[in-house]
Amino acid sequence: MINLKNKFSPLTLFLLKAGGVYAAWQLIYDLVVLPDGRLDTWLSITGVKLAAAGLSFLGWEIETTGRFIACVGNRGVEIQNGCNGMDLLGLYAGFIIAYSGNMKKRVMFIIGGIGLIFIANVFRIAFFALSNLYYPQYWDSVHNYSSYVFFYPIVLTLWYLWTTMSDHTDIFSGESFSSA
Amino acid sequence: MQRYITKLITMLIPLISIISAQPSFPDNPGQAPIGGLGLLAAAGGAMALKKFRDKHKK
Repeated sequence: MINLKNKFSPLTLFLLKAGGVYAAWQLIYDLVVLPDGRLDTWLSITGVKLAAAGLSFLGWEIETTGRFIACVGNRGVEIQNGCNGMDLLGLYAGFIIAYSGNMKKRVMFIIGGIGLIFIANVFRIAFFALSNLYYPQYWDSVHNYSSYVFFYPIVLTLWYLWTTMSDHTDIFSGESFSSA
Repeated sequence: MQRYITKLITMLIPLISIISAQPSFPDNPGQAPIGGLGLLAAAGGAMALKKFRDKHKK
């Protein structure tokens, strides 16, 4: 059996693992999860319901039907498959899985991170509904760049925390890496 | 050799999202993908690279 730890540097190994996990997730998503549709549908509808509940609680008049959400009397928003944060989860988990660390903490980071990304998506959906109410002319920009505001700060912070917290061994030491 | 492989992977990982964003089969629902996943992947790779280098310096 080939020992990959001796064959590649830790960075190469990390990139291979991260790329492999993300590619595998994309394959599973495109070939199984997306055609099946149930998980995507659940994520979209639950996100819409939670966003609607939050906005209603805060005093806005909201109407929802399935994947649609709208402030009453205004243009609605449809949360389609691929717009619900699913593809981001694979990328997030790929990094956490690839970067060495304690397995228990890793599982906690993955589950907690997925939860946070889901909550961020609820806020994003609510923001979409409100942007259609107050600034409908900026819809394209809001939709295109919302990920940079709602998802990426969370993901990058969690990745940073993981690289800082994970108690890995000295990855460039002779134990794990031969430079010959 | 390892450096070349590392550089190659670093350049290719952001392309995964571009490759996977190709047009899908006609019966799939319409997609509105989250933008900038390639950039996020590149940022993650850069973060890991910095961490590994910092570790190496110690």
